[in-house]
Amino acid sequence: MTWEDDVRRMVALVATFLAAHRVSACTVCESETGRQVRSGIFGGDFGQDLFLTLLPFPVLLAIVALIHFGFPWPRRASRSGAVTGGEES
Amino acid sequence: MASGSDRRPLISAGTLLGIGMGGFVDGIVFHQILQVHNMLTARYPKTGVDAQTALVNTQINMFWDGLFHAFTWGMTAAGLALLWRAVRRGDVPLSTRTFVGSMALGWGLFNLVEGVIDHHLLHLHHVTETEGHLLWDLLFLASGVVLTLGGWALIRAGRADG
Repeated sequence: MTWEDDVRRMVALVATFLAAHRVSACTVCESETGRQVRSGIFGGDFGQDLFLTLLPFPVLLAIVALIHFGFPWPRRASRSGAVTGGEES
Repeated sequence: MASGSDRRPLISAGTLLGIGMGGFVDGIVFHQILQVHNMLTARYPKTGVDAQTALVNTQINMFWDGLFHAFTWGMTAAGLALLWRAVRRGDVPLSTRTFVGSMALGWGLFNLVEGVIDHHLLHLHHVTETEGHLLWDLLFLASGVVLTLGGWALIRAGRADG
């Protein structure tokens, strides 16, 4: 018997223990409160709530993308006639 | 500024870090320590309702707060990745003023964007869920303006750093 066998046996033991205690680990899963919470989260408004919660992030990412990649419209030419680029204001 | 240098990778990395860290300040201070609001407290209020509804709504809000924090964590992680890429490039001047200014810019943008969208347009929640919430909402926006302008000024000053 090698140490790898001991590790596998230990992992199996821990996984069995955790699986057996899965229900008791969740303090509200099977309670009336838990059912109301799950209903409130995953009910008919879930999609809308998800969209509204995450809405600021694509806006912020778009601003960062503009900073990183530059603006999509043509850059103005410098006095020498060369198109300026690479550095923001 | 040296020719052939590009500050944008450092600025975008700092901005992303500022967005994430600003989001964490909001979540940790207002949602958790002070508990003056949560993600959807205007839709699922904790006050003015019976105790059972308050408990259920608190736990519903905790879920959405967690999702919000997951995305601010993602922003911070992405900012770190961009920062690592920026410092490995030879053409990115490593200016403290540029970096700190970018983080301030990011934090300010977070306050402005989140404030306008969540507090004023969609009314998902307010800074305080009280009658006088407009003042606090406007102060929150003002903090975003100050951070954004201050960050932008530092970024401009950082041009002299190479």
